[in-house]
Amino acid sequence: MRKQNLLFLAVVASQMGATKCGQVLRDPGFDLWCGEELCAWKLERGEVKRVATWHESDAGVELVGSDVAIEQLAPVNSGDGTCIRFELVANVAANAEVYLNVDAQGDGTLEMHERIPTANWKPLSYNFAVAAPYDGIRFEITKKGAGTATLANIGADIAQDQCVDLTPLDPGPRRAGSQCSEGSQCASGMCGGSPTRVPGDPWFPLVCLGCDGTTCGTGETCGLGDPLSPVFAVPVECVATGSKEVGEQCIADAECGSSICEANVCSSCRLGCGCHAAWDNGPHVCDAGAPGAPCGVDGDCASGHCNGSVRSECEDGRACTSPAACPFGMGDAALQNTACTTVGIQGGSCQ
Amino acid sequence: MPLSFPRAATAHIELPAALEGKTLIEDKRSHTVVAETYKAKGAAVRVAVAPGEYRVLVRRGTTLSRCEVTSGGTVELDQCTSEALDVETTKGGEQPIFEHPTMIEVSLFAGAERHDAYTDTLEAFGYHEGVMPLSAGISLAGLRQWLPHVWLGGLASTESTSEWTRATDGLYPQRFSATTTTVQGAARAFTELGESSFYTYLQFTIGLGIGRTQHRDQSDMETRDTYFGPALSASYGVGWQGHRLGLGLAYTMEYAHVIDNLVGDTHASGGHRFGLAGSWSF
Repeated sequence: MRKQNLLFLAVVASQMGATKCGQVLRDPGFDLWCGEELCAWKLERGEVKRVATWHESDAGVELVGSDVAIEQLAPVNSGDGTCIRFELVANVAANAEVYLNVDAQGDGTLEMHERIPTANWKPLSYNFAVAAPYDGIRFEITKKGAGTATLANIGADIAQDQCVDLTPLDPGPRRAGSQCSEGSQCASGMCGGSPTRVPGDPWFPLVCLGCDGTTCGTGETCGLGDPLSPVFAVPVECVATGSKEVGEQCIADAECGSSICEANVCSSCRLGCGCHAAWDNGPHVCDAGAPGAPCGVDGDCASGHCNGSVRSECEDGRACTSPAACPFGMGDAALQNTACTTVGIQGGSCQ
Repeated sequence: MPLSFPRAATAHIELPAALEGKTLIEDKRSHTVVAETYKAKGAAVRVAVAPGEYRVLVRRGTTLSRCEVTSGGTVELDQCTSEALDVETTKGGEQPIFEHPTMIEVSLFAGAERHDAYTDTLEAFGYHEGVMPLSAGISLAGLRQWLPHVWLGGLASTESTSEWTRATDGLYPQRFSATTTTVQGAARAFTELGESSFYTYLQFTIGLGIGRTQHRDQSDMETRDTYFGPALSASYGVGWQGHRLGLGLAYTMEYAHVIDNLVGDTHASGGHRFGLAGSWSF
């Protein structure tokens, strides 16, 4: 029995990393194109074009125009390592200004802004360290100027022991939902246990909290806010009392319009006879609801019709509109967002 | 049972004091060797023979002297005809190592592929050679003896590199490999190892190289390209030659400047090669 437990822990531990065998970025070779756009990189502005590199079948990305930016949020966190090596092959003309930007925590604040030099298909490498704890790094490549700039084989990986004497990049005060070890690391000054799953870490580590029972104002409740990032836990912050519909995540009854928060979801009844979950980890509603009764899916209603707005969720129950908002997977899918799936109706009422 | 007896040696041939070397006395009528000796300088020697006419062959160093003499007479050295021996074309003292002037040779060879700017570019783009990467191929040579030690002819070869791969987040890794075919003129010079059937040789080739590359992308889409360029090689080998069959081991330095990429590099295919050859002469 003890051996089985140890084996289970070993398997879990092997899946803990938020990298793919140490690789931090998805699609480093710019191989995956969704039509005219990169699948794994997000185009912030400007235009990109698929072009040949050393071989006509091995694609690179050309940053077209005088103001272009692409980005990718990597789920790597301090549990994987704090030293990162970023590499790329660049063909950059003299009249093009290309920059590598590093945004630890993906909060929009750049901790590193490094110009990529003029190069003719030369491999370039940058090592940098990030102060722990951190959750995720947003890599951004920008280009200004009329000159051509083509990039290929962009990769980043954990580089153990190669950042000696480098000053770690400081992500600054962490936002609610990001990992922490002490309150001084958090913008709120509060660091505590997360009521929801923390992406990339199955052990429910400490996260920055936006509030506690004493910090919210009149008409507010310390509850679950809107997710800020797929690499953060759903933040604990002050929300308007009674503002959430049946189907939304919660940690306190007061958040919900129904005044019932059951299993971290605003519900219309408590778990028991005649009260069931509308979907897995969904809201609890009464069986065979009469017209006007709260519902999550059509089957909850005697009429067979539940009216309301469609709710889509990530695997951890947070609301989403696309997979980009969902936490990253594990193992081979460590660098891919998990699915955003339509689960039912939010704030529904039976017809 | 019938019996026969040799003719009685009632006469003699005198080998003079000045004669020195390996000496054969041949009966001119029966074309048989009746005596063989090594005659040292300093004293005359008489060899008993049957009456008749004889030819005396004296080999000293690389000179062969022929002397006609009648029994009872003395070899007159100043009346002998002499010719130079080409010892390198002989085997066992008399037979040439290559008895036939035409040779067809098939070789199998392998070795590590040369690394240059082209392969540096592959590595920069994330490609890796497999474990124990080897290029291997086969060649066919046709050679004809032009001079006693020199053979001329042609050689065709083809060899494939090991596969270079780059991991992708697509369905397949990117894979790249190349095959280089050459058609070349060849010149080979050899020298015997003593009086054995073994020899060593040097060979030089020069001609046309044809590089064909194959690239498969993350969707397994295949792209093939063909390139042309000069090819040359230098080989040093050791061989054994039988009556017609020959076997050999060779080291070759190959160089075929043929395979281009889009960033301005040209790969010189080849490198150090070690091969095993089999040949047939006719």
